[in-house]
Amino acid sequence: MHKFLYLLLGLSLFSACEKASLNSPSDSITRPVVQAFLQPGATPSVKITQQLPFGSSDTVVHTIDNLSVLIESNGQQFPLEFVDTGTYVGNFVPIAGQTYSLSFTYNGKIVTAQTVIPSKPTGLTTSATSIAIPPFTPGGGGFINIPDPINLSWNNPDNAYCLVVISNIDANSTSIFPVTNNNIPRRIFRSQPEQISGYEINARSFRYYGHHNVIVYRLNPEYASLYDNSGNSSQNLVSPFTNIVGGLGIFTGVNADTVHVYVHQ
Amino acid sequence: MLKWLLLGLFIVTAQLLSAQTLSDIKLNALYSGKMDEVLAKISTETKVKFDFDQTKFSQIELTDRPFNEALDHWLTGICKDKKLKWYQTKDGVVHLLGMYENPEANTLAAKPKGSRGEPSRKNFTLSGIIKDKASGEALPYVNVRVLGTAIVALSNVDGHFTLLNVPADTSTLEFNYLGYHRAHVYLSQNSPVERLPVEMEAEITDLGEITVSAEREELLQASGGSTSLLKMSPSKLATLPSLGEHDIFRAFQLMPGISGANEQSAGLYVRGGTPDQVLTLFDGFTVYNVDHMFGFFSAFNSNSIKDVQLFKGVFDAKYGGRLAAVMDITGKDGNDRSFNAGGELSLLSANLWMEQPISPKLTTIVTFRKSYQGPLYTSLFDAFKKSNGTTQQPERRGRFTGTSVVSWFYDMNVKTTWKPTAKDVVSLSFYTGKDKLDNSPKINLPSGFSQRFNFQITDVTDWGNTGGSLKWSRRYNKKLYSNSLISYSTYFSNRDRSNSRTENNPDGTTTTFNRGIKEDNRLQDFSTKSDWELKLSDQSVLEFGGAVTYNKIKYSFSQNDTTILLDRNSSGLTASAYVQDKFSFHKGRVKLIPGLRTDYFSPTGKPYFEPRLDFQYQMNKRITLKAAGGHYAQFVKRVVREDVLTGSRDFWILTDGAKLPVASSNQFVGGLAYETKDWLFNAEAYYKTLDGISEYSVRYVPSFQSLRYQENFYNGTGRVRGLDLLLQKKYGRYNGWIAYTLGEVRHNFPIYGQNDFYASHDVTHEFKFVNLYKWKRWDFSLAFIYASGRPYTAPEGGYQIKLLDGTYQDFLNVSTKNAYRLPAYHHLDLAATYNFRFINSPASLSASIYNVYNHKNIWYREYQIVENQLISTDVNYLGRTPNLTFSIKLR
Repeated sequence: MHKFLYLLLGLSLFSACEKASLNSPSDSITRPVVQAFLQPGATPSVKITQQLPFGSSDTVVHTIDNLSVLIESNGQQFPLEFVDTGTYVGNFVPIAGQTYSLSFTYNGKIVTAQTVIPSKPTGLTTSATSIAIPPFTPGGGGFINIPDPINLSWNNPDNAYCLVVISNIDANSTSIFPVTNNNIPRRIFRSQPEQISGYEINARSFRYYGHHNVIVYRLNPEYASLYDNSGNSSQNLVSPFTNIVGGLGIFTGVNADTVHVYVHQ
Repeated sequence: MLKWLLLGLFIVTAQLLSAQTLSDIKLNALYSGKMDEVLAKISTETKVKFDFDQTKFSQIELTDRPFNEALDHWLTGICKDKKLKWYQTKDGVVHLLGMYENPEANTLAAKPKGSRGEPSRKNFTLSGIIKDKASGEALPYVNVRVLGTAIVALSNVDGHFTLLNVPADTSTLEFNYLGYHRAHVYLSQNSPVERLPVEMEAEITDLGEITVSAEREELLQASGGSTSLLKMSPSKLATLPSLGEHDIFRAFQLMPGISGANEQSAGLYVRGGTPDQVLTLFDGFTVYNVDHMFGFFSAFNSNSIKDVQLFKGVFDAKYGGRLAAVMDITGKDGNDRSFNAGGELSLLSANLWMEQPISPKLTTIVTFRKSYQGPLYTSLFDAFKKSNGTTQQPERRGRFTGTSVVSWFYDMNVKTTWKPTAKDVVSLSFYTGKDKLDNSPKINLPSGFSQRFNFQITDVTDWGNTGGSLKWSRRYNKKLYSNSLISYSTYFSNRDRSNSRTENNPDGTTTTFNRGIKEDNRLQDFSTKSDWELKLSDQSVLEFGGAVTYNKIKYSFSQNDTTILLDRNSSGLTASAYVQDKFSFHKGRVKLIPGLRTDYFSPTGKPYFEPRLDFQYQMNKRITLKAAGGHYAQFVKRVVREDVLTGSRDFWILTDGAKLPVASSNQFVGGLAYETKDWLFNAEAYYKTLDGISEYSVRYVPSFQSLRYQENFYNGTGRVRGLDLLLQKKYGRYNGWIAYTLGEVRHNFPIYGQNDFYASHDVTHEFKFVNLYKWKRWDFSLAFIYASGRPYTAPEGGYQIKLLDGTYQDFLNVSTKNAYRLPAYHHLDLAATYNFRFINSPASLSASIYNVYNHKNIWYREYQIVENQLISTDVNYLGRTPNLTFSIKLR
């Protein structure tokens, strides 16, 4: 019997090996979240907030106020002014092709980011500036004649990522489709951020009659990566993409050109 | 062969000779009662001596009134009616026995009365073939022993065995095979030394003529073979609680070292390995995906399976190409005696099988199983669908659409076996199985729309395997045996989530636009291999052979019509050779199996040497010590797409030695077994190192000038250690086991930091308690599983970013890799099976309840940001699930 016990002891020793250091929870919860889209023609606005901590019943997004936030470009420094609720604005207008760097100190740690303002899309043309869409009557057989789509095209020699956003800009506009309490059509729709030099706007995508802005954005890759789903289940969670060093979120330049489309009956 | 011919000739001649005499005897009376009583009465009347099995014949009722009928004629008629046969020997005795019984095997199995006299042959070589008594199916891997000696042998896959140096022809042989009654053969001076016929009787309760035996053998066998080898008797699966299908993979998950806490995977997590590190062979060909219905069941129909062996690591040099384990499944050959058929109907599927001997040398078996959307299927499917975000397409659910989910699986096995000579067996085995989930909504466009264009949304996931092997085995002589095959196996997995719009142009032509995502994975495996076995002496069996496998693997992931995000086409050749010797010394108490396997893998152009060693020492009758180790390499890997939430979340790729290294592992096992007649205690400790293991992701990779999808392989290392304990009651009306595993799986991937982290399938404690009890016609079972929670990665915080179109995108800031653990997993399952005769055919009705106390076991957690709060939702495994299975067979 003793022999037997020794053998068991031997087996358990066999499986006992040295310990190596293991992962432990990180302190990344304290990292600030930055949101800023720098665009030529508009003074920059940077929003800095805290993360929503997991397990908290708090339903307020806590902003980070009264920081010293600085943007630098070409040796020039532009201190941002704190306005309110985590919002900081600059008194300069970004220029296409320039590189801009953000920096501030939070909780004793330096947070930085860098981006370049893309050039404006050139040669933007549209196949039509207005489109006639017959009203949709429930039970009436729907559209009898679908109008031709509107084709956009622009130059994209360096194969940059582009995004098309179409938004209804009228304050009071009539919906093409019947509106119910549960189903209020959105005023904005968009393309996927893709390496494209043209886009076809289907008549069926419009939800309202009236004036629409069609904005073609040229993007930096960091913006397109925002659309990459980093997963939401414990089986596939990975850290989200960010170009903020020491923080989270996005600090990126965009540039756009706009055409107008009128939708009528 | 000659012996058999002589025996047949002898029986026929005996019948012809005796017919003259017996035909002169006329019967003219009423005979009513038990068959043994009737025969005794006739014997008294006619002075003819009868020989039969008293026990069996006392259960056969007989009522007949012959009118001056000749005895031979009467016997033939009665035998036909009662499925018996008769013959008369020279001494005038009329022998009666079952229609399929082999008189020679019966004679050998009959315990002789008194001494068998002096032996006429000594130290001779004996070979034989072991078959199932009822079906004639050859039985593989049967343990054969010469009683009172250390001389042992194992039958090969065709049921052949050879014993060298049998001391005398008055020895007794003992045969042990899982799921069968222990059999004995009492040799005599007249016993043949070649093709000795041995028949074993299945343990399954056969009601009616045969008495139910009190002896009951184990469902799973964990002793008596190589280190870490488990064997299972598929015929006994029906007694275990089940989720609808009697599944060999689910049964193995009740043993130590094989995790039972993965309801989403029929594939096995063996000693810290993942399912793709387990080599699954069916009749010699590799099966790459073993999941049916999102992994709730395995792809194998237990009705088509004769034998299963699972090596939990440290496997023989004969096997290679995987790191963790080998599951070697042998399909049934089919009944060689008569047509037989049967089927099962559960709340999930219908299952049919048929065996047809075309001639005594040519047998066929066909099994077919298909699910139907019954109540159980629906509840399992809902459990999966609830957790499955991709089955939702809310933006498409308009007034013109409706969803009709179509989901099913099927599988089919066909095997034909031809035994052209006594030395050759040729078999052709074919398997195909498929799963499909079609979640495409139906679109009913108003007539105005359909004149202009058609619109179709596709949401289809399907996957399946098809494989086949042509195998030829030959026993050249008592010492040399070979088994060669050519095989083909393919696995496909497709995902199509797209919409297509076809516009009718005014000129009569049509234009089609497609948007969405398509994934296509197709793996092909062309293999040939040849395994040889040479018995050098009764202490040494040399095994050697080689194999060549050509793998062709295609994976593509495309968006819309044009954008191909990933397109991977790779092929590679693996050539392998191995040699190993099974030595036994010290009267069989020491077993030593050194082996060496060498693989050449064409994509890397390198050879891989894999030494193996297995050592067993039987200290005394009860205690055996074991130690084994080896080096293992893996050339094809299954990677899991981290952002796909459908049933087929995985695909196979070929390693390239650069971005995707060849995986390798060193393993060491030490253990002891303490075994008595009724009990087994088995303890094994193991330690493994893993190298070149991979994780995979497909995601946007931003760089300054371009943004594109890339294949990201994260490579790392791992260490596994653990202790498996098993206490098993092997025999008796009550049997079962307690299994415990203490384990740890650590991975280290530089991408996740310099520290180790627990692998996602790491389970610290796993405890299983399985009880089987037989009472009259009932089989009861109870199984309980407890497993500590698995590690997972959780968000520590979340945030939203307002995009340029005004919408918000949620982001989760995650913890370090697998820093948290889910709560423990446990459930209790019950089953009761009633065996009876239905229209004179053996039948059974099983009722089972899975997760009796309805414990909510967490599969994974989902996180969302709702109104500025980060909330978590648990996605659970199955709750309480009842099932009912009716099973029947002709005989």
